[in-house]
Amino acid sequence: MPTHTLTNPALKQIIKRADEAYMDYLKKMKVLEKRARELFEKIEAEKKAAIRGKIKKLK
Amino acid sequence: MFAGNSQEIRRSPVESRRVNLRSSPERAGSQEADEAVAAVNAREKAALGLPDKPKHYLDRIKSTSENEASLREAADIEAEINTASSSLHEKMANAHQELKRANEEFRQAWHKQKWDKYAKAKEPKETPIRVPENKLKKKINSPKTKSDILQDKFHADFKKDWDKEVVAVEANEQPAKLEKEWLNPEQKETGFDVAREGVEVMKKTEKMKKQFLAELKTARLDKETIAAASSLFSDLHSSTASAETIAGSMNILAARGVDQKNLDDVHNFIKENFPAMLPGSEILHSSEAKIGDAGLEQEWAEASSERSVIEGKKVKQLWLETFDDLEKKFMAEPSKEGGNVAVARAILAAGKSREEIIEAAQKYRPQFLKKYLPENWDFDRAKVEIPIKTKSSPPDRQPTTIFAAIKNSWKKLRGK
Repeated sequence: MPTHTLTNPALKQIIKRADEAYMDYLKKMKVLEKRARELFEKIEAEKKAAIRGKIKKLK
Repeated sequence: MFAGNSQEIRRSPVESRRVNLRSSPERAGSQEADEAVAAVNAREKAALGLPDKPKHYLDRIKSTSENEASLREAADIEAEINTASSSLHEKMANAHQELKRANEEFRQAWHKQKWDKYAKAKEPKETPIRVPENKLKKKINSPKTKSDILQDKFHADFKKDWDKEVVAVEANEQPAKLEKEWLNPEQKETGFDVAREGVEVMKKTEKMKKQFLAELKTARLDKETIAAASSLFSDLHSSTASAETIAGSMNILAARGVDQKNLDDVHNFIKENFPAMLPGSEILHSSEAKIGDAGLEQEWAEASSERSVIEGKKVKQLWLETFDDLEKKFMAEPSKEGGNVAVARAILAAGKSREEIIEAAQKYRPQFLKKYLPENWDFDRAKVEIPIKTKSSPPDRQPTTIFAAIKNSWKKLRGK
């Protein structure tokens, strides 16, 4: 929403703070998403490596 | 940024018209507040979906992995997500509160501005016309207007009604008090009939009491005795009076100088009319020592000391009157011999002896003995000269006793 249409400075300030809070949250979620994804990928890779090891043994 | 300008696009034609109508600054302020709220809501709404992606990975880890270290890390990430979410929600809630406050402040500021403008527009442009002082004085001293007269009349009427009301309240006070007393817990079930009956009895009793007091006054008793007798009378008619209270009242009567014969009469009177109160009168009838109640004993002690004071005063007065009388009798006789005979005659008529008179004179009027020598009082001649009472002689006026007053009053009322 375009906040530049607002004339009341108090309202502007509040919306600015809400924007900042939202942006912080967004950044935080992106970081956490990255951590979760990496952890997941690491687990998957370990699983795959374990399977490959088993196959090698069977051969 | 996420916050787009979709609101403008989504507005219906009606809504758009409504927005356009908001031409005043107040309307504009309100519109701005709406827009700000919508902006905060939009941010809150957009934030809702953000944790979904990391949570998706975490769920998969939890369902597939058995590695403790991995699970612990997943739990840590989840905790951080939750903390960040609750922090954001808190911030958004604060933003809503602040919006509300800012909007209210804006509204108040707008009103003030509007009012100031209005007040300024209505301000009188010219200075008020000053009324000269002499004209004001004339107005104050002018005769009353029609409105003033009406107001005075209203106040006078009000006062009259008020006085009437006060009199009515005072008149009804006693029965109302009784009505309250009458409705004791034991009689609750009998209801207002009993109360009404009680009021009737009270009215009758009040009448009786007035007559009784009138009789007591005519009997020329002292104030305290009248009060004690009145109290006894009230006790006899009171539904709450106990034998002890009756005994207390009667003891006071006894202490105030009512003789034993009269007290016996009162005892019999109670026996006849108020048998339930008999134990009280029995206490009186026997002796003071039998008054068991500590309060009564104290009352008796107080009454007794009062009695001795009253009796002392009475006895002295009687003796002084007696000496005056004897002096008069002596002086009325032309000779000293005659005077001595007259004094002796008076002493015999009063049922006293020479010794008693001497003793009393020494106590109350010693000069009497110096002036009228007792050894000269001629009792021998006096005894001869004392007239013997015959049946035709008028009977002595019996003094009115309290009991007689009670009895008369009671008889009269019973007759009614």
